[in-house]
Amino acid sequence: MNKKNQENNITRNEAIKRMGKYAALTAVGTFLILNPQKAQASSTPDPGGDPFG
Amino acid sequence: MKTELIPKHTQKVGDNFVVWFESSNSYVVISPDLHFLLTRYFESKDKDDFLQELQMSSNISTKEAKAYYTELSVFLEDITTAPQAQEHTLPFNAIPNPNISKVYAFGDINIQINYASEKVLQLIHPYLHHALADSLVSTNAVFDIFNDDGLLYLFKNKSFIGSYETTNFHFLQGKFAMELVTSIYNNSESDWLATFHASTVCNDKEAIMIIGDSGNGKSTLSAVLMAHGFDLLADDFTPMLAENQHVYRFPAAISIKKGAFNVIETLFDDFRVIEPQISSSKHTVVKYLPPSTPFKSSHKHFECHKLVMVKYSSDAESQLRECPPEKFLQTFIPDSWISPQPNHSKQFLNWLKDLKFYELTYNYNDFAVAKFKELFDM
Repeated sequence: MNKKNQENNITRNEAIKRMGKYAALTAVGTFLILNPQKAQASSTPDPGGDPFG
Repeated sequence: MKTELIPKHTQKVGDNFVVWFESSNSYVVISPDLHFLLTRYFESKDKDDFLQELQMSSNISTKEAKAYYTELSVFLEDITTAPQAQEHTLPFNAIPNPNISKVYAFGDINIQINYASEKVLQLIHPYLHHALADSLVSTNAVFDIFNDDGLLYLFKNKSFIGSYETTNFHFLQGKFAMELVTSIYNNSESDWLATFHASTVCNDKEAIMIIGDSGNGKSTLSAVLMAHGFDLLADDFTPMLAENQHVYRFPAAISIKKGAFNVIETLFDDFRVIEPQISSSKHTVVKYLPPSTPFKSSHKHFECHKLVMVKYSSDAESQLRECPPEKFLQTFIPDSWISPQPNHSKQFLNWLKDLKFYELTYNYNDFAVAKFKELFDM
């Protein structure tokens, strides 16, 4: 989950904060905000990899 | 209420609703109760009307209703705020002379790729190696890929396509894959509905998409299924055309990690002689297994109404079960590129509503193969 959030430039803490922001709504039922990738991508590389570094 | 905040599309998917907001290209999965609140929000004249309506229709306390109102207002403000577009600067006047040039054939389409260096070549060539062609043939498209000062550049027919930080080379690979698809199928990016982070297998009638988090054996399973006679339509990158919502063949080799070499060697006689390479993205040794079906004579596209999330686990009970969509959408949507065009989003939601979702947990390959046979027979 953390990895996916990072792909969308949202950290885990930000995600939790967001959920807190909508505490009453999330208590009602399923409430998932899903953002597709902004561009086409292949599999996300494992962390720490820059083949040109 | 502000009508400009109303989601552009709403679609029932399973027990829940999926709403789509155009300005942020966001999909939001909401329960029927939340859908009711959202509908009331837009139907109410103002805050007082909303509070009164909820109290009368649903016996919701003022305190709760106020909290819903506040959070819906914040949420709608957030979700309808368009993100800033990323600007690509282009500090280049000329494409450098390539060090390496390769030509690949996909049916009658020949593609030339000019690589600036061996490192750049390693980003693309290994999974297209099987399609290498005579370098003297005439080409339908020419790509130039090079790096400079921490950025990777992609050009197609001498026109700038994009630049990417070298650490984000997977976006260059993705964009190249998209451009390759448009070259092979002779259309443009705006014709495509989505590119899914999924592998896809097919028989002669339909395709089944396979998703799963990295490390769950998606590529290995694709190879195993291929060895058992299933046609691998795409590995890891599955494009869908808007016009017919069919998934299309993407003729790349499968990347097999070292841990699975033994299994795959028993299934493909020539796998042993394939040269192992260091993967650019996974920091591990991999081999690239070419697709079994020759591209030229293959059927290029199929409808797809089944999505399988796979999970290999040596200590879990093997089972295949149908699952509620929301569990899948959490992985499927954020992992994919979905065209932000409103008509495409509508088509995507329409496709989604008829999709069947399955979870396959397996600890031996024969079980997975048998279950895929069952799925194709359903």
